[in-house]
Amino acid sequence: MSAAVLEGKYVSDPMEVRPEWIDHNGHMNMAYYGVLFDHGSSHVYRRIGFGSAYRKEHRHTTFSGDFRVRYLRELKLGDRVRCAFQMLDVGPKSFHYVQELIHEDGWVAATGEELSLHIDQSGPRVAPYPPGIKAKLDEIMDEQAHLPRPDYVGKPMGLRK
Amino acid sequence: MTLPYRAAEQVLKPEWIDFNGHLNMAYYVVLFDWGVDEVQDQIGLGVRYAETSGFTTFSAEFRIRYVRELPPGSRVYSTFRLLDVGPKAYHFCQELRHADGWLAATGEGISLHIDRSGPKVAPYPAAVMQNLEAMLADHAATPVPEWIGQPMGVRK
Repeated sequence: MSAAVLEGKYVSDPMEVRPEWIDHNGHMNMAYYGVLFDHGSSHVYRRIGFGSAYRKEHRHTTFSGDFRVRYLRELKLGDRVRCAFQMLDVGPKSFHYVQELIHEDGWVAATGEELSLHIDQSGPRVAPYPPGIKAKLDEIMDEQAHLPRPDYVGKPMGLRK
Repeated sequence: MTLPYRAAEQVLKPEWIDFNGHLNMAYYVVLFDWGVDEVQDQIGLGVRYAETSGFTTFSAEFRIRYVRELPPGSRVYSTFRLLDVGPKAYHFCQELRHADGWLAATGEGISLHIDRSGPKVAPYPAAVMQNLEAMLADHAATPVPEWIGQPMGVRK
């Protein structure tokens, strides 16, 4: 995937909504937004140094600890979206970020918020990042620190009455 | 502690396993959503309603906390509790448990009632509203899980 940047956020190559993801409502089922967010972040994970080679060599990997999607607009068969990435916070064993699925016409179909954990597979248990990985995470944090923190981060879910 | 409604058991599909050799993070939602389908059938918001009434339900928001990895071939079931009901939406939580009983993940979501002619958010029919309120009263006997409403963040 490319290393394109849009308004300071890293964006993936376009991804297309597949027929097997369409449900009885005639739109992409809520479950598959997660697939697009996951695929759409892999270029950032590779840039940090993660992926199957890292897992095999170091017996460490990343697990998702927490993931929250806000569904803003329906996606239909054949729609093409790119995924934008913004780092919010980096710790010794985890990092926190937000994503947006951006339709090729420019509107945002959904937002994602995730906590990524570094995992020692011999546990599995949460483990500190090696210095090279930590340096890369800090570099991304520095590069994106000027971006405003979205107002939906940290808000509890609830009904509007 | 578990939640009041228990959905049918499901088996993980092989294509949902990722390079970590466990259920990929994205497919937990599929399993949670099947559990919601069962509940919606009971309250009159199932696939038949969606196909015949001109109304349906959309998800507004969904959050998963990943507690323990699920190995290939695992048998799992979800549980469900209503948290709050409004005229056009309901708020709920779920657990995903291994058939042996241990907790693999928690889910929390908001479901909207939708008039497909918009699509726009619309009030529930009276019968559905009654069913939701009866279920909420029934579920109120189970405490709200302590993980509801906690913000996400990095431990330093």
